[in-house]
Amino acid sequence: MKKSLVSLILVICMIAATLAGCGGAAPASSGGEAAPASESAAPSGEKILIRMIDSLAADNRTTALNKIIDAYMKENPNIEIELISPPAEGSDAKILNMLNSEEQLDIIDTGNSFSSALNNGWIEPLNDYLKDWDGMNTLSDAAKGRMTCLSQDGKTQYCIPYGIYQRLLFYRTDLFEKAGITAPELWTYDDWYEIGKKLNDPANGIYGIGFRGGSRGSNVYDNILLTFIGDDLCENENYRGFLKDGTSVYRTPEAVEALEYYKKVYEECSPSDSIAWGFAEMVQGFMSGQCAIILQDNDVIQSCESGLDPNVWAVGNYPIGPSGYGSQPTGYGGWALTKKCEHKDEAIKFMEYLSSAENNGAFCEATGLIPIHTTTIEQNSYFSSGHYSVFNQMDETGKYRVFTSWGLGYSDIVETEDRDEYLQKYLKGEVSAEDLLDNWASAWEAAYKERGQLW
Amino acid sequence: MRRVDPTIEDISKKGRRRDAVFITLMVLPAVILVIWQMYYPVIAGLRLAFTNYNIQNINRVRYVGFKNFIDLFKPGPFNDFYRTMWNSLVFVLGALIPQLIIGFALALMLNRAFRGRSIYQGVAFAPWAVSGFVIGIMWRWMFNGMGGVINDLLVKAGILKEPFGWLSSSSTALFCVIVAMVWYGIPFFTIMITAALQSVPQELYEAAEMDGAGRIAKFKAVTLPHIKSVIILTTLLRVIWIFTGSDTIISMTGGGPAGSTQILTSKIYYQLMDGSYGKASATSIVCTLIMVLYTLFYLKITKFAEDD
Amino acid sequence: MQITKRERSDPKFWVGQVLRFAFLIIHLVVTVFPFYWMLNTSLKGSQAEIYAFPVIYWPENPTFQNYLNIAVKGNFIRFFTNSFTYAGIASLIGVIISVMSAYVLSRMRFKGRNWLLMLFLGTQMLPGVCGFAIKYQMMSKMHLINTVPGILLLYTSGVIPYSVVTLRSFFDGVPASLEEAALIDGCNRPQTMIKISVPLMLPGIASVLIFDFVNTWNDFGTANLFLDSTKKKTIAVALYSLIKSYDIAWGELMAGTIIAILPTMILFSLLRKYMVAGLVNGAVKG
Repeated sequence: MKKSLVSLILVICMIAATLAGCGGAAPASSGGEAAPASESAAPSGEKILIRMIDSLAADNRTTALNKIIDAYMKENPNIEIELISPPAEGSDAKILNMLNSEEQLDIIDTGNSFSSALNNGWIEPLNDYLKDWDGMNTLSDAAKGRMTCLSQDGKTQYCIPYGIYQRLLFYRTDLFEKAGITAPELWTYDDWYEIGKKLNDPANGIYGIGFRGGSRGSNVYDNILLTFIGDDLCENENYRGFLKDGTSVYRTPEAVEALEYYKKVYEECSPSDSIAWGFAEMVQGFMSGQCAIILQDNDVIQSCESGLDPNVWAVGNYPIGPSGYGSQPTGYGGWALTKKCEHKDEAIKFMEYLSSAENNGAFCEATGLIPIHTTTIEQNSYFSSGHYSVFNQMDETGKYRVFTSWGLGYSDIVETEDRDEYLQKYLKGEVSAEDLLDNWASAWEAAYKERGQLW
Repeated sequence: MRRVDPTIEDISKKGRRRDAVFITLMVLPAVILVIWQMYYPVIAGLRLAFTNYNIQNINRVRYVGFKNFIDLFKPGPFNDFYRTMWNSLVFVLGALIPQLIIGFALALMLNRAFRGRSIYQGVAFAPWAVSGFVIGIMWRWMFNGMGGVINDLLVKAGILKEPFGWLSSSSTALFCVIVAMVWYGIPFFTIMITAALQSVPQELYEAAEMDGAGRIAKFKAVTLPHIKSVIILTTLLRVIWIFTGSDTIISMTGGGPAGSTQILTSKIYYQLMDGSYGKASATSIVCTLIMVLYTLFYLKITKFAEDD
Repeated sequence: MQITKRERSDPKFWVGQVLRFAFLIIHLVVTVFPFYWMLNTSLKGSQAEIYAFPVIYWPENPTFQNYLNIAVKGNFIRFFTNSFTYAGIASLIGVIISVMSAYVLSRMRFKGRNWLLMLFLGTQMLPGVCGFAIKYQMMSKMHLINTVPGILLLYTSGVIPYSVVTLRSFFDGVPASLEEAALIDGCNRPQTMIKISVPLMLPGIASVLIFDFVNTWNDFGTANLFLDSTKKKTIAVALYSLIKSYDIAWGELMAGTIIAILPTMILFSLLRKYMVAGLVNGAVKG
């Protein structure tokens, strides 16, 4: 008994000692850090605390942001900026939770939570604050468009974008050469399928296309569908889910064709695994040389530049569809100001600083996004030449329709959470094209009926 | 006599009162924390099940009665509820039974001294130290369909001709997740049962031996009754944990492909991430009912909570 | 349990022994393999090596680059200390509170005892995620978001139900007769509990403590939601950050995971020694 007791006491002492080592520091540090958090409530502190949250935190982003923040705090010693960088996955839910509970949050990354935050009235319009901002003069059209793209009247500015995402096509020149294929000048979806099929060689572990059937795979289908539809499509980029007369695009015969095309690409050109692929797996498949073609956002350019021999890959335009149109889901990220922010002027000042041509350029170069100022794009050779020039090519065709939302004003009624899963079922042959499209069309039709035409 | 009686009653009353104070003081901290931190938020959240609460637009929240529940149960080509239920059952039983059997067997084998036993135990317990999320990531990495070490081993062993997409095929994905869960769960049973075995008083074995009992008889007469309570409890908890521990599924397959690894609790997670608090609450209520029914049934048949 | 003479001469016994060791060896290989694979991946320097097929079973030039990367960039030392503090303090307080309840639930008969037990068991069935939003608002009103006391409160209450239920069944396994004798000798309840039952229970208490520690250490959801500052981040959240939207940094993720599971492994080896010492047996005999 004595022996065992002694050993037990030893164990407990050890645990206690290690704990005391860290525990001793804990209350002190908590006190020290809790103080600035409550500062905005208690005006005793001189420093103004501004808390901003990033929704796509990654090393390169956080480093770039912290550099800008540190420089700003040095220039403005009365301002304390706290950057919150939660893991990218689930960050949107966290942002919405914080806003819903009125935790202090002054500047938010628009991420995927932005339209919800806007619907709930948590976002401050920026028009009045940005009237005198000289940065406005050099903003690109794409960036200006993103500032107002979620407003019903098309004029209210809700964010300052920090970068634009555009989609493009990546292909492996080494695999093309081996198969004796030359890439077309201007890619169409027909090219995509046919070349993909020619290159597909599963026996040797080579696949034509890195397909996206997993997370947000439905978005790929949506863009294909939009290029199948001609001039009937609604002209408002926020209501691309409808034809001009209010019919749901899912009711059209093109929807079936596009769906069958999508399945054909999966079955004949892609690894079977890719039914579950999202962003990461596609890039992985491409980088490892197993997939010859992928459709991706511009930030993948950076991954390829850093991880691949420049001789084995090239980029092309996001394919044009049978209707002669292309679809460009011009994505963006931006900083928005919350309604609850108690120091709006200070926060705006910082947002302007963050969005200056210089700082935005540095941020975009670190993260591979397209900068928001035309001057940056012109002056910085990284963006004006090389792989990024494909975006100029796409602009010049004049065939691309911007796709922002399926139906902004209806989005809260229409259930969208299971779309990727439904598509997977269709790819597996568990549901028919007609049933699937009818299901989606009915939801949008019901929403349209409830609220009328909103554009 | 009448004068004596009250004093005896007094003493026992005092004793009882003292016991009551003691009991109250002892359980109060735990009870308060549990009710305040665990029950209150969930119960307060239950009313959401009867609303269309969606964080995408909280201005339009209104009561919708039982609509969320009706939607859940209404059969249709896009209603996955029944399949999700079936997946949950397969997942729980498929993961539980192997880990219980292997864990139990291991605990028995480890109860007997052999050289290197303590090192072996240390290694055998290791998986339990890893979080469910990392387990999923790790096994996803090993089951990787375009390479991956499991494919490589199977190809080298001549079982497969070319790499197979284990996680992308609806028919194998759930099996893979179960493998990961079994790997993870064995140590739990081993640890708990080992601890229980250590607490069996040695003289009971000695007494049984004196009565001439063989190994199997000793096991039945001494070991089993002694550790029964621990086994019943660990099994009960483990079933619930497997059912609620959707993090492995989320990080390994995300419920896919085509919902073939979606269980009720991972479904709730995705509904929450989507901001559909109303639907998630409704699904949760169904989940909780299932677990309560299971627990009551389980405790009834094992007579666990009854006073002897 | 030593091998007896009778067993030594019994061929059946030796067949059993062989089967037993075969089982143990297979189990060992299966258990260790994923860890080996983690280590293997973490020591590979280039993506090409990590993704190569046929796979590479040991890197040609093992490198600690991944470990350096996360130690420097991610400030893992800080996150490590944070996790240790939160998990250590919370599980210690949690276990002390739980021992009190478990003792009463096991040793004393009173009205509502089964209800109390169900109260604790019931938490395991609560759809915890569903309460998150409301819990967040509750904690927010008390200004406990992004504070150390807040996270300790959440973690402590989180470990209690499991601890109470498990400890209760450990108490059940300790003969009550010893205590009854002490009670008759005039000891009061708290005294008998601390002096007689708790010492007998120490293996159980230690294992519950370590379980709680590991569970808290591994928590991701709570820390991610209720803590904001980088300075207060836990190691689980930091690990999760390595899964980026466009790429999983497998090398770094595996390196981070190995660092993250080290303390729990060490604790487990403590637990093992401790259980092997056969405390209960010794104590009952002594």
